Order: sequence, then structure tokens, then C-alpha cells
Amino acid sequence: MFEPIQRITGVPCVLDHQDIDTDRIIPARFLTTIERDGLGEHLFRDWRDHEARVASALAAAWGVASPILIAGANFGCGSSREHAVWALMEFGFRCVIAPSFADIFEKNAFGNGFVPVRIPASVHAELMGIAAGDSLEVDIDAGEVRSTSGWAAAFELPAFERRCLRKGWDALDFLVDQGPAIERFESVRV
Amino acid sequence: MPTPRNLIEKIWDAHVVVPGEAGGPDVLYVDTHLLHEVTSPQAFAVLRERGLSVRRPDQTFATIDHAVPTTEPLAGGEWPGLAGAAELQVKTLEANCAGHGIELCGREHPARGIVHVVAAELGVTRPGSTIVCGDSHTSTHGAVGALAFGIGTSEVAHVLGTQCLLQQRPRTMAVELTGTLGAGVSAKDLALAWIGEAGAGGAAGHVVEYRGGAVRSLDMEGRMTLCNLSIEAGARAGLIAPDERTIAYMESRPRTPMGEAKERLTEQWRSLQGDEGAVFDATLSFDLGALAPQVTWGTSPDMVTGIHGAIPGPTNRAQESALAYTGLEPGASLAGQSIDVVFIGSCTNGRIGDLREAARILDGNRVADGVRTLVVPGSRAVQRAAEAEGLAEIFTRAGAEWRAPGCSMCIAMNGDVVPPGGRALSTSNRNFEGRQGPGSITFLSSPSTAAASAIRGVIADPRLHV
Ligand code: SF4
Repeated sequence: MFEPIQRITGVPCVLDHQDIDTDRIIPARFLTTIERDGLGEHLFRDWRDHEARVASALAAAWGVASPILIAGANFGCGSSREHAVWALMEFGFRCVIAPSFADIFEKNAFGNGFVPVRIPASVHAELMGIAAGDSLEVDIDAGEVRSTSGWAAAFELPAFERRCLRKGWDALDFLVDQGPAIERFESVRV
Repeated sequence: MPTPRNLIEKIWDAHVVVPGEAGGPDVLYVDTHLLHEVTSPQAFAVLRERGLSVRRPDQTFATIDHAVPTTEPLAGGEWPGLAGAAELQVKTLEANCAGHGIELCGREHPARGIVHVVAAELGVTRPGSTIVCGDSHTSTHGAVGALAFGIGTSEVAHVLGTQCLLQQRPRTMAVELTGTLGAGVSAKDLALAWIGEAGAGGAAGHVVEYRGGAVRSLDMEGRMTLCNLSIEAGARAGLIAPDERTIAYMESRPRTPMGEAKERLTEQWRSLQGDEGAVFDATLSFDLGALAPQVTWGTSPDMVTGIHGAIPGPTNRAQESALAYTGLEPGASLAGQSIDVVFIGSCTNGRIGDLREAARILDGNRVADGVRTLVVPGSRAVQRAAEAEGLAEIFTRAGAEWRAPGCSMCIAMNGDVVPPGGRALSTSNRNFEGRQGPGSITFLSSPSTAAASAIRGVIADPRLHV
């Protein structure tokens, strides 16, 4: 269960880098926690520390409390750690716009009400051209990303996940409701 | 006539509890749920918040591996090196398992080790089953013909509470690998070569079935290495249809039942094959020819080349940034690059065959001065076998450290770390920036290459030893 989401607006933070893995998002040494909180301050910890470009992009995002991250293809690859989504959310992000996402990351994102917005590489290139300083709006209902300067592009969310985002549902409620079907399945199998 | 189905589709269909509506996700049944200390505490917390219990503790199996030290626990449960947050994580899993009646392969358990090594070794992993774990390398279990994949912590809670997941039916991909593996060249080289061809996101959204002569020729451990690395090409899972080698392996697992039950099972396992004429959403074939040992040069496992290959000039931003991070010179040969650390272990290459491969090369040699060499068995069983066969002695005589089982330097959560700026040659699976410690630089290779390189202190071709 999370807050239903309809639209997300803000000046995006841009990390135009492909294959941003979850080790980079939240290094493993911060995973020795039994909580979901406390990860935001370690977001991109080592990457920030050695790349000034990344540090300044994040510092700026922090300053404007940006909810929108724009990244390169295959975002969230590598480890299955959901801590990556928790860290991004605690930092203040509510969505990532990228040409593609790693499968497990994408599922983890939807499960937390964090929106992975998948756009074609050509649209991504356009977006990189206009993104600097321009405010964006990610409209979940319309399936559209718009900029204040008038640029717009469509994106698609899988229907089921979109419904969940709009209603703030999570899969656990849905699965618990399937109890009788699960029982039937188990009784004929074993 | 029913439409012919491939093996992935057959296993999937057999586990659909409720089909998805209008292209939505299916409710998929999970036969075996593996847990470890790092990705499970928040999932148990969700169960508590919702007032749910664990639906099938009998189908759940837990280990401690990621955060635990590779030192020996003392009698009485004290464990030097296990402290602070990691200790709390281990204790939390111990309490959760005890509270919910889940079997835990815990600190004093004779089978303790890395979740993917232990579950396969015991035969918790079975052909034709669905297996999940809050760990991306769950694909390892595909080696026996199971559909095994990694999930996030929210999904761990789903499986704990309902034994089910909501999953979009995957696309399927056949990956046909042909070519021969000469002496000194192993499953790891095969896997790295195909990831290099496919790219880090090359199999995204797909479950892969590995086929072809090069795959069939691998022993079960080699198949685990190959399936383990599926995720590094972005695949949701990777599997290999059972053959007589699979059956023989399964028959010798301690948890495989005896007698009639065993016969029934083996018959069922033999029948796990795709139908004649089944199609896949994608098919890739690579003739790997006479494959050279592979070594990565960048910060993604797909940045890989033959050991005598040159470090390429960057062709994109990711490669540029990888070279900026590693400080390697484009055009220079990988062979001959100096290293500070050698790590032999992990769920990719921490099984007994891997240690035999490394020991054969290290036998009678010494690791180069100044190269810290760490050999970490994947499990207690691997450790015992290596000690009984004299491999452990070969390692220590060579000047390597022989440790207790765990993930260790693969993820560097337990104190086993590569120092900042240090260059490690590792048999693990990820060369991401900082994976083995902040500022660490990782080259990935097979156990043979790691051993040959440890001796020389530079990346070296293991075929010099055959
Ligand atoms: S050995 Fe490495 S990859 Fe395997 S389970 Fe442990 S941390 Fe993950």
C-alpha cells in the first residue's frame, strides 16, 4: 500500500549513463540493515564521491527536491536489492525515465509505487536536448511526459501496474485474495 | 494438435495458479523459496505488519552467507568478525526462521554456505520446479532444469505470505552455444564470451534456454556457472534441459528420496524437454570456436575479451567512463596487467571443481609477493572435500589464504574487501565500480586464470600450465 500516484512534476536530475547498476545506486556495505529507512543519504555514495558531475547533479536535485531522475538504458541492472528503490525514494525521487530497465528493478519499483518510465531511445535523445533546467510533468493517466517549454512524448505503462499505481494497491493484497485458488492448486499438485 | 511448447513455457504453465487477465501478470506458484539474511528482514516485517504467517515453511530454506565473516565461529556460537549491523541481520534471520518454523542452514550447520551452492548441493533444488530467492544469481539453479529467478524484498514477502508471485509471462530465448573448450578453458570463459556478445541488457525480459554442444559438454558445476551468469546478460533466468548428467547428479543428492519415489521423480525429470517444433521469441547462436580464456576489462561483465586481446578504445560513454574508472590504457594487452588481489570463490566459481582447477595450477607454486590471494569455498561440503583431497594444503602452501565459506569478496559486505585503487582478479560475477570495495578495480576470470595470475602477479594465461 502506498499513496496513489497521478502525476509527478519537477526539474529533472540527469545522470545520462547506461547500465547504472544497483551496486552503484546503493553500495553493498550499506545493506547490513534490517530497515527500509536510512538508505537515502547513501544513494550513489561512491559514484558521487569520485565523479564531480554526479555529485553536482544530485546536489542540485536535492536543492530543488526533484522527484524525476533521467538515466540511460538498462537502469537498475545487477543485484536484486530493493534497497536501490528505497534509497532513490528516500532521497526524494518518485520516478526514473530511461530507455530500458532491468527486470527485477522494474518490478521492485512498481511494487513501491515508484514509476519506471520507459521511453524509446530517440525520445530519450530529444529529452536530453531539452531537459536542462526545464520542468517536466510525468502524467500517469495520459501516459505522457511534458515539458514546460511545450515538448511532449508518450510512454506506456503495463495496464495492471498502471492500475496499481493509480489506486495505491500492491500485489500482496491481490495475492492474499487468491487464497482459495492457491489452496486448490496445492491440493491437486501435492 | 496442441501448439508445441518449449521447456520454459511448460514449466511456467505448470505453475500458473490464476492466469492474468488481458495480458496482465499471472499468479505463479513457487515450489522452493530460498532466503538469506540481507534481503529478507524487511519482508518478515511486512508479514508482521499485515498479520500474515508463512504459508509454506516446508518449502522455504534459509542460509546466512552475504554478511558473515569467512572466519570460523567458535564453539558456543561466538563468531569473531560478526559484529554490529551484520550480527543483527544474522540474529534477525535466526529469530524469523525459529518463529516461523523455517529450516535455517545457520552458523553451526554442517552444510552452511552460499545459498545457491548449498541448495543445489543438497538437492533442495529440483528439475522442473520454480525457485526464487531475493538474490539475482538464483538463475544458478537453472542448471538442473528449474525455472529459477531473483526477486526483490517486497516479492519475498509475497512468497512468504502466499507462496505465489504476480509475474508477467516471460519472453523466451534459445541461446545455442557451439565450439570446444580446450584445456585451461572452462564454463566461466564460455559464459563471459556469450555475455560479451549479447551485452549487459541483451537478454532483458527473457528467460534463456541454453543449448548446443558446448553446453551439453559441461558438467553440472559448469552448467551452474553458466546459468549463474545469465543475469549479467540481463536475462530473468537461464536453464538447461535435463539430460543423463542431470539425472545422475540429482540421484546423488542427499535430499532426493530413495526407492520408488526416486524412480518416479527421475522419470518425470527425464520428460522435461521442449516439444519438437517449439519456437522461442528470440534465438541467438554463437560458435565460440576454439575459445581463449576470457577476462573483463571494464565495469560491466559484458566488457570482456580474450586474455591476449587488447583493451579497446571506448566506443560509447559507458566504456569511456569504465576506462576512466579503471585507469587502463586502450590498446594495452590484458595479459600482463598487474594485480594486487586474487579472489577465488563465490556462487559462480566456489564449487569443488573450481577449486580443483585452481589447485592444479597452484600446486607446487607460490603466489607472487604482494598479491593477497583469498580462496573461499562455496559451502562447508566444498570446504570438507577440499581439505580431504589436499587442495586446502596446496593453497596454504602456495601462500594463499584458505577461508571458511561465504560470499566474501564477491560483495565485500563482511570485511573481506579490496582496498581503494587495488586491482583484483576475481572468479566472481560482477566487476561493477566499487563492487569489491570503494575504489576497487575488478577483472573477472575463470579459476584457472585466477590461479595462473596469482603466481605471476599479473594477468596470465592458464594454458601455460597445461
Ligand atoms: S557469492 Fe556473490 S553473487 Fe553469489 S550470492 Fe553471494 S554475493 Fe551474491
